[in-house]
Amino acid sequence: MADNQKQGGALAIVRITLSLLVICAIVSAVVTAVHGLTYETYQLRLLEQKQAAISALFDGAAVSCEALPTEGDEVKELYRVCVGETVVGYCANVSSAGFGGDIDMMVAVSPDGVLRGVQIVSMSETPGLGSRVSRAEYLAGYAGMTLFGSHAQEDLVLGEDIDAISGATISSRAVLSGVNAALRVLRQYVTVEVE
Amino acid sequence: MNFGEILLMMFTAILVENFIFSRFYGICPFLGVSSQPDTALGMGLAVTFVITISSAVTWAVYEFLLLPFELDFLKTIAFILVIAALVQFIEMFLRKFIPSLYASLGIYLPLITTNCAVLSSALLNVQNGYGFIESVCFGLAASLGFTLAIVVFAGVRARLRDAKPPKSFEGFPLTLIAAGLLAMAFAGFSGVRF
Amino acid sequence: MKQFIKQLKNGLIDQNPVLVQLLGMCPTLATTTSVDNALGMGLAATAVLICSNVMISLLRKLIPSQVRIAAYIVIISGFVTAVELLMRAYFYPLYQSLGLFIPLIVVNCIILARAEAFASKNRVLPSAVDGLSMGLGFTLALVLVATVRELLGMGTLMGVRILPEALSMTFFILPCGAFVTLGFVIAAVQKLRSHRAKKAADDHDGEVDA
Repeated sequence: MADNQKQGGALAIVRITLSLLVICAIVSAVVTAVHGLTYETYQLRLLEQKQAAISALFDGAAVSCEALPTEGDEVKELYRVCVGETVVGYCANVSSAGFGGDIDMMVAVSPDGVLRGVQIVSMSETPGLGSRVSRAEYLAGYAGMTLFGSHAQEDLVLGEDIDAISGATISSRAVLSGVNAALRVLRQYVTVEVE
Repeated sequence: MNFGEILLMMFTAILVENFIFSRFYGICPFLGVSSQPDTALGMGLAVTFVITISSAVTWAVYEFLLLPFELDFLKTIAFILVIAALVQFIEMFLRKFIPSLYASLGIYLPLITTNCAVLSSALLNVQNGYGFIESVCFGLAASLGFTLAIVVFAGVRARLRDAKPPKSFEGFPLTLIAAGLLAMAFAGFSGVRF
Repeated sequence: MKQFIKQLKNGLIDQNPVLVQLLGMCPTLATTTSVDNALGMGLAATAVLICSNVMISLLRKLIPSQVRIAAYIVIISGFVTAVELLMRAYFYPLYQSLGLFIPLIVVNCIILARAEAFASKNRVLPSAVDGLSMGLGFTLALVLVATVRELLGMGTLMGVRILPEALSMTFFILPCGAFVTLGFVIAAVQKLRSHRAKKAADDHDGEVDA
């Protein structure tokens, strides 16, 4: 009697585990299939957004980008931007932690050491609040700063070089730290070129 | 991250980016279990227990199972399974070895599986790229923030019991508006940073 | 057919998951800062709800009772991940806006509640309709709250400026505004319901007297 019960118990456990495993397997298979189908489209979207950002930073000119090597993990990608044969600037793709997730941005400098501008590629900040950092009027505050003189070796400071958006301090700080990370790397290239 | 940075991260998670009043994770139990301060504390501690352990386990699963095989897209499924299993194990473990603790926490444990706060703390750890120590500290801090919010709110609701609002505001609407006022208080911490 | 219309009305109004059953508060508070977000979240959750209801209904005789919650969670999380991946490829800006709340659809009480209360006990077609009706009810509630928050908080509706920016009250975009707005919306719903109940009782009394 006891043996029968034990067998029934063991069989039940096997049945339960098996059915769970089968469900897990089916679900994982379906998800993996969807992932395989959508991955390339997703990468394409990312690329389009980056191209659009770079294009916007260089006044919509038809530019060609040459990838440069980067060290460290703040700056994800680095480009030398050219129109035809002439170098029109350098561009860094940085990511920094915002409120709702990473803020991905493009920071461009011209060869003579002037910050051309900042473009937000993607972000997950609160609409109407943190998302205000992507507005052209706000980001225009970054344009035109020179990387030499008082800013030769130092980072930009919130409140001095650029204001935060009230109610969106975290997002504003995130953009600033991304810009500083980009500038730390871009400075080398600009100095090298000038010399 | 060094010790100072970790402390700052924890302070931020408890007050500045409070899970309930800033990020809205864990609202269902927050509104449902906060009617008495003792039950609120019990729920808060149970959640703290689960989130701290699950932060460690989900970090390990991500680091050693999902990342090496490029299975990042399966993290939602993997994490929620880990959490459900963890809650089950914790329940069985407590019932067998620490019955007194089980008696006080036990009723809340099954509810914790569907608590947004647990899954979101695991996902946030991945999103922020935290290592093992940082993940556990962030989980601990986030859940302590949840506990703080739920206990304070229970105190507020205890006072509200004598209130006589208009008929259509009785119950949930009044609770929500009280929570809104508390959220306003916590908003005073936003942007705080050393 | 009549049955399905009744089900739809049930999910949209009588048993609205957010406004009547008081479930699914987290996304209602978090994703309603703009009507676009609310609509996106509502429709994504509806898609997951329909799919998971259908699959759970199909498998309802095969899932052992002891592990049914775990099984439901696995199925729901599978569909959530699928929806997440599809949104990432085809609706990237919305995917960005909603952020972590897309994977959090897994722990949305509404989906698990409908799986346990309806899909596990009914056939496929009614379960699908139930998913649709509850999902649309959820979307309706979200859009309602979002309309108030976006209009008063930013002066826009779906990005189109309606009120001058000077009149916008940031309070409504902030978390405190979310709680307060939802509180007022539910109070309004409760007033409407008690009004209807009173009217029905009055009519009934009237009939009895006559």
